[in-house]
Amino acid sequence: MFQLPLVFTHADLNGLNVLTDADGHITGVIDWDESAWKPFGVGLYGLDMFLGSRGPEGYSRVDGYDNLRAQFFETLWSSMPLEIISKQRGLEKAIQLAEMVGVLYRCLEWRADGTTMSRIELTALEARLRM
Amino acid sequence: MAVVFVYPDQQIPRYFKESPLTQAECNEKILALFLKEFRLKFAPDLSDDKIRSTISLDQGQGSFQGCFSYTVVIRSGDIQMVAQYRKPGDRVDPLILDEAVACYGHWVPKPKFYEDAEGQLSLAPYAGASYARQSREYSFQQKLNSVHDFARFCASGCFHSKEPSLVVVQTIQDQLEIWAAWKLNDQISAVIREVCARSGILSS
Repeated sequence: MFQLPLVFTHADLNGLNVLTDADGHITGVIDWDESAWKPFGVGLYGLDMFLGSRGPEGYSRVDGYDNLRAQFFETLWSSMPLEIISKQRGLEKAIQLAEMVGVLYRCLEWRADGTTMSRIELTALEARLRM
Repeated sequence: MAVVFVYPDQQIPRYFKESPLTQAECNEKILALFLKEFRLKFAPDLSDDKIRSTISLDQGQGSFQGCFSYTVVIRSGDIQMVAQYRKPGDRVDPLILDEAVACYGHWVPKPKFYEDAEGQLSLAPYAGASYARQSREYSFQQKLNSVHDFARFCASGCFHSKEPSLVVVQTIQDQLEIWAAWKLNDQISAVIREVCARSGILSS
């Protein structure tokens, strides 16, 4: 993770803060409060909102999860600056690690300690960390 | 201690509980600002009351409502904005928005801020609706469009990146150490330890 560039990272990427149109295209991302410079990949925690949902039993993945996730990374890499694309092989694992860090921040950062997490929340976090 | 979940429809009264403005006063302020901002776009000879009758506020059954602001969509004809009120203690630093726009360009609707002692109001151009509101009805292709756009959004931040920073990584290290000590459950603790080990972050 030491090798990842820092990017300005939204701290609250969720379905309320991402605006989309009738075709599903993103038209804007709002609520940038608390954003900060973090290693690239930490912000990929936001991918969870497109690939699953929170329900009464925790976090469940959408149909076609693997396909959507694979297509996300394909588009991500094809849209990156050339100097990062050239290092793709070396960076992939670091980015996946940063994504896990992002999920942990998302679920744990605002808590005073771990004792406030219910069984369902723990199950949801486990599911989200299973990439 | 039990975790208390506050669902969007409960958040609005909760937000105004300790606010210098009531929700009605806030709505009035938003209307007045919208009117002032777009006065020239309306027919100049129309009275304020006439124009006001064309304006609607959509509190969206809480669809846009977060914990730290009162957020509504305000529209008249083809003009549509998202208005946000924040109490004095919840103000957004406009410089953060400037930074977000510099890094992510068109993905960030840039608001105009209006501040006074009663808090901060912002008006931002608004298109579409929240993903949370629409996604249940989306087909696979629509979801795919969102995923592709999210990938492009994430990639766009890399065009305005900074050099890796040991200070930032050290902060993450400190946080992971704290979470590792929480003993959340065996599986999660194992993942945190693995993240630490694989990143070479923790010494143990």
